[in-house]
Amino acid sequence: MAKVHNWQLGREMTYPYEATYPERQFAFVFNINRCIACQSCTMACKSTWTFSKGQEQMWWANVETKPYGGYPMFWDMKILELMEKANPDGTRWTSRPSGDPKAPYGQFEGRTIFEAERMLTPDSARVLGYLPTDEEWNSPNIYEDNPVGQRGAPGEYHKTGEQLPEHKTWFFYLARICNHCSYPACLAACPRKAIYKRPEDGIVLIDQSECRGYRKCVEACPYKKSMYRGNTRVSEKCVACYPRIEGKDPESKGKPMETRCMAACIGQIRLQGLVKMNRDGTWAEDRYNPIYYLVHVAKVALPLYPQFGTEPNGYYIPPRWVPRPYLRQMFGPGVDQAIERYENPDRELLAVLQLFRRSNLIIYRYEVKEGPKVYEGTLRGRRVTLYNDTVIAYGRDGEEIFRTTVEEPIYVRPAKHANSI
Amino acid sequence: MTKPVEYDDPMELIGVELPAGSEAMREMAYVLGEEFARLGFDETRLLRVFRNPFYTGPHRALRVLGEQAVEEIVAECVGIWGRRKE
Repeated sequence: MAKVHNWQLGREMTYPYEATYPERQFAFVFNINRCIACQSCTMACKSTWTFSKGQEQMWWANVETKPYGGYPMFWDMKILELMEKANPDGTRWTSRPSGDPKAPYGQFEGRTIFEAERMLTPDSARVLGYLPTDEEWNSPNIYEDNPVGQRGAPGEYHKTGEQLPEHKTWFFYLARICNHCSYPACLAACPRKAIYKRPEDGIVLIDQSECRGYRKCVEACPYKKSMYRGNTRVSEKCVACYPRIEGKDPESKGKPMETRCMAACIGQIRLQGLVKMNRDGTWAEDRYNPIYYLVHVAKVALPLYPQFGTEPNGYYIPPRWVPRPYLRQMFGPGVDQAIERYENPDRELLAVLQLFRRSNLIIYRYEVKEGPKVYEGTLRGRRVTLYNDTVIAYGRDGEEIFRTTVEEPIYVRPAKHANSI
Repeated sequence: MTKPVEYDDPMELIGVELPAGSEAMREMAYVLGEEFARLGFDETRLLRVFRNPFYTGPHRALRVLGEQAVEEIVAECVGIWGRRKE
């Protein structure tokens, strides 16, 4: 096993292959505070990539209600349980989040899914994982928001919705796609070497002509985003809409464009880009790339279950109202700082948050032009000063894509056109 | 009447209440207040969301925190974010 540096864990870890890194890396930020689980992303992906016979159970993009649901069912609970068995009470982070780009969240002392030797069976296995059952794949949102009706009166619905059963506690919606990990577990586990990571953008793909459907990738991916197709007998996964990323989609007119799931997001929770990589696998400083800014400067966006060890490239602005122990388990030790900053955004963060979903083209750089002070007051006892700054987004070739302001005008559709499209 | 649990019924609700601090509900009310105020909701419209039982999350916050607390939260959020003009 080779030794590679995982900056999300702040340490070296074992991985079956030597480290190689792409020139740029496909990465995205989802703001969970805004997700309403409308499933527009889910359907945009489904109608583009997985609408064929044999793909019925596949949802490359999905939104699940936490902590009740999961697709496949219980995916995160199951892998966390396996990790706990492999290293009882070992999931610990030492040292505090810092400014060190090689260890921004401190150091993870537990074992990753690549380091759980004593749990691996057979001996040839490389990654800790499990194969979900058919039942677990079949009902992507079961046990989540579906009302069950009144107890003891099957098949009857309440005439007034407020009497439907409700979750009497916190919950939030977790939107997920493949994380196009820097150390993909699917790639590590494939005995055919049919899975590869593209050097130009870090997108992880399965070579359909090399795959023989052993499902080792399905077993290994801790996020369960590699899926088996029964009628072709090969596995498939999210392709990050690579024709759009390459600017080859007719709609993009040669410019790199965000994926279908990003473009479809009506809640404006999603922003996707391509970050520059250093030779050592850390992100190259690119101060005015919005993804770099949100992850490494503002530090409001955090990786999903970094302790798995795959260095996922999907980042989340954590939901503010959820108990912190749950969030720390899901997003690591950076949670408290991230929420503190999101709750009290500075001028730059407020402006960058306006970049979400104003265009489908990939933003490579932004610039903030200062505007007038428009408000001064208090929110929850803190002093707040608001400026109507302008944020300008630039594309790959330095061209301006759009500009918008912090106080964006709102246009309300008149009642007579309320449902016009 | 309570229906006994049927373990093989796939529609059986299995969610359990997870412990959360009493501040979680206030936090959720603030998040709803701020995010919707930023979307352009005024005070009246935002309060309507909290008062409508069909919006179970905000409505539960209103029931737990009380009308006055929610009105204060909404006023505070709209005070900062609610000055957008058409």
